[in-house]
Amino acid sequence: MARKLSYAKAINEALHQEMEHDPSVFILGEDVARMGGDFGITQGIWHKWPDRARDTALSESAIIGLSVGSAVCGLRPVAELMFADFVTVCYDQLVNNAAKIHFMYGGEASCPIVVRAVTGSGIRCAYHHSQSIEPWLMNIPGLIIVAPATPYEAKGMLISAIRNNDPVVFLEHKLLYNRKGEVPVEPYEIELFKAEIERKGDDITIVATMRMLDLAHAAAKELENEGVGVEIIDPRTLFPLDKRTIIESVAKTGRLVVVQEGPKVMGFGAEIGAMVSEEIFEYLRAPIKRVTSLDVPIAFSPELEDYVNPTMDHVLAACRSVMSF
Amino acid sequence: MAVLLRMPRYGANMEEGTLASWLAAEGDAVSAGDVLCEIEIEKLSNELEAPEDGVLRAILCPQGETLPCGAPLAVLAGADEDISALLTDVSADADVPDEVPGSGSGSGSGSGSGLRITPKALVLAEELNIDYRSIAGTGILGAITREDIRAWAGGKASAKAVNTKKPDELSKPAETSGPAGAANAVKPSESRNGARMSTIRKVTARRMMESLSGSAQSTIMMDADITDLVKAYKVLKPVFAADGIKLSWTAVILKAAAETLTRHPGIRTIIEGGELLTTYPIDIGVAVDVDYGLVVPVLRKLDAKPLKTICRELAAAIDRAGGIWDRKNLPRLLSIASIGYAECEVFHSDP
Repeated sequence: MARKLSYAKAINEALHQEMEHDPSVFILGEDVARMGGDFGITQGIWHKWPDRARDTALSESAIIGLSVGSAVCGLRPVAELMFADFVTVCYDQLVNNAAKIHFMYGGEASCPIVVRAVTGSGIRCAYHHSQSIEPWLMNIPGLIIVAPATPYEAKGMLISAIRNNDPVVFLEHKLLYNRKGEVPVEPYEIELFKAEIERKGDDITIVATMRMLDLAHAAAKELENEGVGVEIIDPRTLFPLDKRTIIESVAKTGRLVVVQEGPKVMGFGAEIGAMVSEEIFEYLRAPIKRVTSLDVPIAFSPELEDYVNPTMDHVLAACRSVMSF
Repeated sequence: MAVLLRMPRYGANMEEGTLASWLAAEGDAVSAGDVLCEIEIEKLSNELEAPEDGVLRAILCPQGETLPCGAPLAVLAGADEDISALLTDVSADADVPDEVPGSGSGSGSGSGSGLRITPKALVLAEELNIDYRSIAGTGILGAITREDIRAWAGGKASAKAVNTKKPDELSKPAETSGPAGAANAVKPSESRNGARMSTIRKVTARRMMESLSGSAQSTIMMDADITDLVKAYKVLKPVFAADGIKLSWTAVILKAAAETLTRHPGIRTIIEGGELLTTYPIDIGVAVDVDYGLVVPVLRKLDAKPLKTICRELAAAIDRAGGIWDRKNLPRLLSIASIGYAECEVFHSDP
C-alpha cells in the first residue's frame, strides 16, 4: 500500500524500518538522538531505541571515525552530516579509511557505513551550507555516491544503502525535504546502480539529478510544444555510474545535455560528457552541453544565490542550441 | 521497440523485390531469427528474418506485390506497443521510399523509423554513394555504424572517408584503381576506363589479394588416370538426370577434394592467431562468375555428403550467387574454380 509522504518523512521511515529489521543498525551524529536531527529526519528513533541513537560531539571526524570502526566490527552505522559541506572535516576518515578497508584487507573486512549528508543550495544558507559536494567524493573509488530525487527513491535507496556492505554517501537535498510523493508502507529496496529513465523522448537526452530534474521536466514540457522529444535520465547513483542507460539513450537521441547543480569545472557533468564522447562519439549529432551553476561560491545574498544556479531558461537554451546545431 | 521492416537489398544491383509469401501472419509472436516472409528477386528467393523478438503487428505489403528496396513491408513491435505514429510515418513516406531517415534537421532524429544509422555513418554512406538501408546495423540499438558501412563497402571506403585526418591512407585509392583499371582495359596501352569500381568488384579484388598474400604459394601439376572416373561419370549422369539432378565435373571435383582433405589433415591445416588449426568439417568455396563480379559461395560439410547432395547444393549455390553476397561465409581453406568452358589448358590461380 502506498500513500503520500514527504522526502524527509520517507527517509525517517526507512531509518525506523531498518532499525527494526536489523539490530546492528544504529544512528549517530550531531543532535540526531534527543532532538531528532536538525532537519528532523531522525525523529522518534531515540525514543524507541535509546541505546542505538547517539548524539555526538561537534566533530565530523569523530562521527565518521566511530562509524568506520564500529562497521569493521560488525555494526551498520548510519551517520548524519548536518551539512554535506563538512565532509571536509572527516574527509580522511571517508577517503583513506572507509573507502579503502575492503581492498586493504583483501575483501575479508568491509565497512558498511551510510553517511547521510545534507547537500545543495537554495535555502539561503550561504557559503558553508550550500555546496554540491558530489565531485569531491566521486573521485574516490570505494565510495558509493547516491543522490535520490523523490520520496520513493529516498526510502528504497536508503534501505538498499544500509544493507549494502560498502560505504555509501547518501546525499539528501535540503530543498527536496518537503517534496511529497507516493511511498509504499512496507520496506523495499531500489537497486543502487541503476539509472531511472524518467521520461521518454527521441531527440535530446537530459541527464540530471535531484533538484535539477525539476528544471529538466519543465524544459521538456516546453520543448514538447516545439515538437522536440526529451528523454530524461536520473542516474540516481553517481558512482558507480549506470553508463549503459545513458549510452543507450544518447545513442538513440544523438544529443546530450547534462544539468548539474554545482560549479561547471570538474563536476559530474564533465565526467558524463567525457564518457559519452569517448564511448559513442560516432552517435552524436551535436556537441554535448552542460548546464551548471557558475564557477563561484554560493553567495549569501538571495539574488546572488539565484543568479549562480541554473534555471529552466538555461536548460531550454542548451536544448535549443543542440537541436539547431 | 517498434521496428519497421523494409524491402531489403540483397546485393548491390538489386532495385526491387517481390514479396513471394508471408510465412507469419499479423498478430503472430515471433522470435529473432524466425523467417517472416520470402522475397524473390529475379531468379532467386530469400528469406527475411525477424531482427528481434516481437509481434508481427502490421503487414504493409500484400503477397505478390513488387516494391523498391527500402519500401515498408511490416511492423514488428511489442504486443501492446503503440505503433500508430510509425504507421502514420509509413503512410507519409509511402510515395517516397527512398527518403533518407535521420538526415533531416530539427526534430525527429530518425529513431522512430525503425532504421538507425549514426550521423557519421550517414555521412560516410552518402560520400560513398551507398544505399545503407539493407545493411544490418551492429551498433547500439541496431544502429548502422561507420564500421558497418566500411565492411559493406569492402573496407576501402575508410581511406576516402577520413581523407582529412589520415593522409597516409590517401594514396590507397590510387593504388587500387590503377592496376584494376589497367587490367580492365582492352587496348594495349594503359588507360582508365572512367567507371567507378562497383562495391562487389572492390571486394573481389581485395579478397583475391588477401588470399594471395595470406598463403604460401606453390604449384604442383601431375597427371592422373581418370578413365574409371570418366566411365562412372557417364553412367551416373543419366541416373542423376532421372532424378532431376545435374551432375557436373565441378561436383565430382568437390567430392574428390573433400575426400582428399579428409584423409590428409596436413592440407587442411591453416595458421590462425599464430597457431596451427586443422580445420574440420570440410567446407569448400566455389567461384561463380556473375554479371557484376565474382562471388564464392561456400558449400558446407562436404565430407559427410553424398555426391547427389553435393550436386543439389552446388546448383542451389550457383542459382543464389547472382543475388546473395554473404560476407559471413568466406572460404578459408579451399576454393574451386571451373573454367573448362574457356577451353584453357592450364589455369593457375594461387588465390
